Amino acid sequence: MDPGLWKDFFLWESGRTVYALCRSGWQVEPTLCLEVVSVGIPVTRWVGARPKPTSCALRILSPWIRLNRISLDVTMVKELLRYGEIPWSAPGQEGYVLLELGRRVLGCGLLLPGRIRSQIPAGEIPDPELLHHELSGAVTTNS
Amino acid sequence: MRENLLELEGTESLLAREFFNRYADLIPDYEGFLNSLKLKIPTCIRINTLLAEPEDITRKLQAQGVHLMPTVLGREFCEAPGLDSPGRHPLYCMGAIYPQALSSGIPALVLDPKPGELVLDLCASPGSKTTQMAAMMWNQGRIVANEPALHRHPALVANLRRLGVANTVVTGYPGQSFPMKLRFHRILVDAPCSGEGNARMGPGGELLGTGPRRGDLHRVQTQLLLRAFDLLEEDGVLVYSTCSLDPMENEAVVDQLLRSREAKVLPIQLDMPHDPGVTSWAGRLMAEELAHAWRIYPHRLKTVGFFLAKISRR
Repeated sequence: MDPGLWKDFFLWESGRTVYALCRSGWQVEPTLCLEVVSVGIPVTRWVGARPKPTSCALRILSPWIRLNRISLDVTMVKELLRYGEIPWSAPGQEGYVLLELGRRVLGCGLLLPGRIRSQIPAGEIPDPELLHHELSGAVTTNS
Repeated sequence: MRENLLELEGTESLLAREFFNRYADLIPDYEGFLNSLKLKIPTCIRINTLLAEPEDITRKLQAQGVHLMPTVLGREFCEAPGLDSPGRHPLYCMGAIYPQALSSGIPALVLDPKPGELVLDLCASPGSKTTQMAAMMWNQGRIVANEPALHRHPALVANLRRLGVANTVVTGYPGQSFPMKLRFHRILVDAPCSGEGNARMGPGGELLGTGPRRGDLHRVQTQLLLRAFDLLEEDGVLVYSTCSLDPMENEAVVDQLLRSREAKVLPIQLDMPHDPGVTSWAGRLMAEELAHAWRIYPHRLKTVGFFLAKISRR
């Protein structure tokens, strides 16, 4: 991802999380005079010495992410969500990766030697069975 | 008569006809209105253009047997007949779609926020209209999503994040005392209300989906609207809305603003079924310009009952 992208955002660090808020041309954030309880979107969380990208940030920034993307099929996703990790033999740079299903960004994964570990928050995709419908064209209607 | 009706509210056997009879002379085609309460409101979704293309989502759902139907609200809002539990669908979990009633989508369209503007959503949770406005602004500019009820913040924040909203900050002020430190180009006051517009009629004619009133809604709504108006830029625009049919929660609130401030009600330049706001109620004469406000009835547009008024400085 081009680091220059971040010039379009204000960035705040609170605890172990970095938040991003679009800048929209402002030099100073106009709402600094308010007591704010939440700001923009969390983009990374520090895990040990590494910043881990959040799933919601990956969804927004996906068009600008060129490397470390892994495309999975439905079966792999279901296994990943069920067991937390799946075997993975294709070459790739170890570390955090963007996981996608078709053209949809699922969220963050961690590429380790021989496997991928899910970093997608529990419950974010509550019904893996529906993922099958997402690509297979199965009917999910009540009529 | 009104006192008698209020006594009936909250009783288990309250019939929809009894509840709404106070509006029999106000609602055009009153029998048609009552009949519409027996019908299921079509499932409607908004496609989140921050993360998805309407054409792509239409194709995707069509492959699943869900044929999206266009609505008067534009290509992002679609009826999704047969889509079971859209809130459990992967497209929802990934932020691509959001279940939203048609009438709930109208206030943001009327407010028409632009990229780069400073926008206040005074009563924001759960974020349906905030996220819609963020999409209209292409995630540019700034939205202050204010929600005084702290227990409603998690849902608001979760929706903002899931839908990829990166131009919004959340505050927790009581709307009536939102600090006078900023002036906003656009303000939405989707006020807490009785929710009468959500009412449905059961098979025995019983009233469903709305309950007894809580507190003095008219007073709270008026305080919110007055503060919102005071926060408006000189050339700013404000939209006041509720999902109530009660003139005391709607026109009477705006009328109070017109009496207290240099405000005016603007015509709404959208093309969709609506009825004009009322200018008299319960012996009270109100400003003629309230006819510019919109009443949305479920028998005119297949959605929940709604009220909205577009307001600016005089």
